[in-house]
Amino acid sequence: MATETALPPDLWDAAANPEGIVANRFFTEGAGVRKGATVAEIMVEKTSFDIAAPADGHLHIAVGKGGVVKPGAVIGTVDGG
Amino acid sequence: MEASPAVAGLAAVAGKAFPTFFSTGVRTFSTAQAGLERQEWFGEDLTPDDTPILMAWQAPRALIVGRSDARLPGFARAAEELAAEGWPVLVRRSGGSACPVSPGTLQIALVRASAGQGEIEAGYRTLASVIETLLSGVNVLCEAGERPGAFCPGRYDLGVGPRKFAGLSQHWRSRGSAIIISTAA
Repeated sequence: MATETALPPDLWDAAANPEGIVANRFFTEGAGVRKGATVAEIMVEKTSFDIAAPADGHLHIAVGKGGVVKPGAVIGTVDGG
Repeated sequence: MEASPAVAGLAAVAGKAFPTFFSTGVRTFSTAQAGLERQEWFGEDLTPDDTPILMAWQAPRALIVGRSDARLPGFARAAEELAAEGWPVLVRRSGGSACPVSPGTLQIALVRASAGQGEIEAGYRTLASVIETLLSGVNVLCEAGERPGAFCPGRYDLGVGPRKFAGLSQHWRSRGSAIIISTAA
């Protein structure tokens, strides 16, 4: 079963900063990750948000490094299989 | 290494002017790595019920870069060469570009835990206000705002007139149900 890696819908105030970018991806496609591991970094105006894996499993990337995101965006999944 | 009297004086003002924060005073470290590690450690045990921590520190020279810089091609070699020239390179978690640390710079961080999502703007406004207030106590008027031509420009850069002297960045991470928010200058 796949668990979405989603940015919290209120991670930042979209009215003040409509978009952020995926500044870094710390694991490659298919890599095994543990729940809670920092898998990505989102940057909004010099503010760095660490995004954690929601579950143990294998990482699948939906939005890669450099991608533009909004609060609530799904940036990937973790496949527990 | 001891903080200069002027810097130590600012730290004393901080403790009195901002009783809602716990001020550590000015900490001096034998290496910038130790200072950065302590700054980033402060959030480990904070809870939303705890008083935010205001930390200022000084250290010998180093270059502190963001995680994106550390993943650029050639970074390892560049870091090695800089270290050989007396500029160890450290990687921080907050945003922004490379910035130097030296006995002539003061690093300031405000660390707090939030029970819910906070606002980016609030973090920047709070630390900018702290620094503006500190400097007004020694008759230095500084203001937040982007300066044209400044290195690594940002809306919450601090400067005197047209000249930038500090940039602010933040790092947010989850720890259980809390968000640990570090704002640094």
